[in-house]
Amino acid sequence: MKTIYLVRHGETHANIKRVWQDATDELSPKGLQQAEDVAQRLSTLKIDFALTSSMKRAVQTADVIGKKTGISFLESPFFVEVSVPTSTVGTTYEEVEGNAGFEYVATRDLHADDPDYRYEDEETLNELIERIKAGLAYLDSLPAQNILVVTHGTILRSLISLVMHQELLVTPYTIFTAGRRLETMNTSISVLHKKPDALWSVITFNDYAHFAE
Amino acid sequence: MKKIYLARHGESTSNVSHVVQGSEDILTAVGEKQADVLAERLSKLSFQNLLVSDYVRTKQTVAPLLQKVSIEPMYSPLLREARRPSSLVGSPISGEGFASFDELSKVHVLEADWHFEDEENFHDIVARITNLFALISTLEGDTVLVSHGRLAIYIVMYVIMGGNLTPAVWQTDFATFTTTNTGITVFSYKETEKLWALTTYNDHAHFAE
Repeated sequence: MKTIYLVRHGETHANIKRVWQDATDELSPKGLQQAEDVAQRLSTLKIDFALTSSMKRAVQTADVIGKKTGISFLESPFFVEVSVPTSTVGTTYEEVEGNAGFEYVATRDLHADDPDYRYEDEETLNELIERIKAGLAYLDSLPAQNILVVTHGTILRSLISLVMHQELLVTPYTIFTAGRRLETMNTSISVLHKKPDALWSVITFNDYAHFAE
Repeated sequence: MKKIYLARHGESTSNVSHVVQGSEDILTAVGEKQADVLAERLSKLSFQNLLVSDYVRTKQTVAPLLQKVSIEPMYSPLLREARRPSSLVGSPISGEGFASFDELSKVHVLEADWHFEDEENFHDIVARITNLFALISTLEGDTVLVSHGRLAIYIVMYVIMGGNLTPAVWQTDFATFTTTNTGITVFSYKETEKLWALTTYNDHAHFAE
């Protein structure tokens, strides 16, 4: 049976400022500590292959885990974060949450039924779905049985949503709904299983027991 | 942020023998040990309300926790396992009797009034979970629920899909979630959006991985 451990990167400066980020954001001192903590936990697992998103904050998280556990990571584009329109980088969560008129979100919501809709230069829903499917197929094709992936919040929520719905009911609605109704903490662990010729199964989502509750 | 911690009971005799469970199953020695570890973990949380299914295995599971916290448990039928037909209790899950029930309930899943026997159908269970959330909304502070595997998955789906948990979603999604004895699932109430969100699913870090 194949087991995939999905770890979200540690806290970044943009996470503290609660703003939308691009690929260049870096870990905060707390984020580096979180990476140490999750590394401690991962050190008891037998990981035989490890991937990290190629974005800076994921690579930094993987570096800390690698130093502590001896695991070496391959940088991969499969599990990078879902991009937001370039013009919206730096937007605060409050601007989006408290303001139904925030232009990008309002416009996107108007096109919620169109999985190919693009506002500017961000990833469309269909591109996201295809990327996740390709990523899962890639993991499935690897001979390794216990695989660690360092990744990001939105892609993780979308992936869990897609696995949950067995790809049958993935619509803009289910992806966006799940996005709002799932939470991902920095360096949380989610676990998927897959038996040969069976579907992916969600074993654990967003476990962050390595922090005091 | 208001939180719900939902724990599944410890390993029961029927979990080991893979038969359809009723209300009277008891914990195994492993299940009792899991209940001790769960009590250790839950007792470190600050919570104000404790709601427990009134089945034997959940009452047994919560017993060690009651030694550690001074909260009066509320034993409630709202947290019982999704009920199976009485005539199948004790029969193997891999058996023909169960298979024919399972097959027929899938065929009739859209019919709110259809029952094989005395079991709860999809619509009954969704109605029960709606009542459970209505009860929780009246409680101040954080709540621990001690319940069962299939009901836990229904609750997770109910939260993720909001008011849109349909039989089609249910049937495709159920197979993709697995529960672990005494796994903990956490929900948080997002005040700004007035909705419950899934914060953690089936955290069982208290056991060696």
